[in-house]
Amino acid sequence: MSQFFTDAAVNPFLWSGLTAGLFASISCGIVGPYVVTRRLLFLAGALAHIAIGGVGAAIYLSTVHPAAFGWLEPIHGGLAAALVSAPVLAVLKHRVKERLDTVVGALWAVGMSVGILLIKITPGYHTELMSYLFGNISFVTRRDLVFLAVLSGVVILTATVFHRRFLALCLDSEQAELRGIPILATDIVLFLLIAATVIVLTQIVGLILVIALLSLPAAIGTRLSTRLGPSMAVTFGVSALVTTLPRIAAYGTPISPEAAIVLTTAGLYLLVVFSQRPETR
Amino acid sequence: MTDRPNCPVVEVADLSFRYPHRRDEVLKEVGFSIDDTQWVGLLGPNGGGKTTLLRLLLGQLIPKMGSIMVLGGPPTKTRRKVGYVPQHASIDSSVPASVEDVVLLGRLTRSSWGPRYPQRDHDFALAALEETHTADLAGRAWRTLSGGQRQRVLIARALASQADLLLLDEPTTGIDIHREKELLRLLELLNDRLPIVMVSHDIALVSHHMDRALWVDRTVREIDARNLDSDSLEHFFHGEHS
Repeated sequence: MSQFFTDAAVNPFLWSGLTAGLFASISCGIVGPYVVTRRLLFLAGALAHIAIGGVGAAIYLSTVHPAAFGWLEPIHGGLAAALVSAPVLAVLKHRVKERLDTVVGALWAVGMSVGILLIKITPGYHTELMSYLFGNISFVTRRDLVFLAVLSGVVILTATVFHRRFLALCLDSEQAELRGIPILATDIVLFLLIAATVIVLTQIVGLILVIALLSLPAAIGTRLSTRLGPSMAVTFGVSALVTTLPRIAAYGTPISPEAAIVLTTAGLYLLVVFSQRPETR
Repeated sequence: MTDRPNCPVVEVADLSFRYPHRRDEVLKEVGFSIDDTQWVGLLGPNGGGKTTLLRLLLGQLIPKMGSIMVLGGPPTKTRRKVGYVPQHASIDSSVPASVEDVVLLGRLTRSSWGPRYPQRDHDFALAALEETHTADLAGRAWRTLSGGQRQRVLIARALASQADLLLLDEPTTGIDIHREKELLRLLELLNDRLPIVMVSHDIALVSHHMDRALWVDRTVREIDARNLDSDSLEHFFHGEHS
């Protein structure tokens, strides 16, 4: 553990990795409780995988047309794909009454396939996909940090404006509709926030582990709180803790930081579940 | 209760309704009206159309044939003045929310932006909780409430919205007999100032407490609420299903 601090003195990437974790925890803290209580994890998973299509497109464009798209980073493509598919998934959720999971599963697979296809036909050897899949907390650049800060700001602002509506949809969407709230439009906004959050979290732990970080801190937060607002604060706290401490502890060991983050979170979750008395579960 | 022009609380005429892709009408040539502060029970067999009628009254379903007026207008326009009380299980109890959070949903409007409800809405919510004798629960977590408490809180939510009509969907489901009596006493008190329409399976309950009973089984027929017994109901069931 002490090696982390010794190395951090000469390697600024280590600090930016921790800062990135804190930014991600903001989005995770706000959006996670909505996702968990609305049971939208499967749709969030679909957004993360469809985003691979965008990652592939960005890699292809920036390699084949460097003059026009040289600035384009894989994560930008991923964000664009997630933001475009978010309203589509929201509409599907409202309109498709039977076998929604089949339809969403198909989109999930198509998005991934397009991404893999585009990367295959891109000349050269590309490691960017691996960093999208497995996370890249060790090499977060200043540019990445700005990107994460902007996304977190947008998430905070939107959730502040929409909180009462989101809460109403979590609790009783029928009542919300009877009170005149446009349900589909509100869900589209929520799904856009989920898309942004999934992309932010992918920067930290990668696509493969993103669902764990979106769900487990929020599962802890919603269990330990009696109101949604405080549960967001707890979720943020848990998320900030698990993106920081395991990262420092695992540094210099063969354990990958991403796996350490998720395993610690899962351990915390189990601890909370078993330490609560049965009647409050 | 706010001022309302002198019109029936509910007026249904020549209403027929069929779900898309279904051949038979769920409701056929239905007509009835409810005046003043009556307490009306909707009885009938499962699949007879009680829930469909409720959804039509709330404007969640739109009829192709016939007309429905609730509080002097079409349901889609007037439903914000209708205090709908669903079965308590319809609120997701895994969501971390206080009892007051649930009641405040009755204050939600199209212009509810921002994270908090204004003080005025909190005042309405608390007054409604007091009226249903649940003010002491305001800060409690919704998930820790019993079925009877939840049902009272949902009635408070309807009152907080300043409803001119209460519409209840089997409020006594899953509630023990003692709590049920308390709930009915509360509704009796509220009925002094508010008309109540209530879907129920419980014939005894309807005949003891309500002014009128409507039998919903594809059509809607007035039945004598005060003299309901198993013989007359037998007749209704067999009249439709033999």
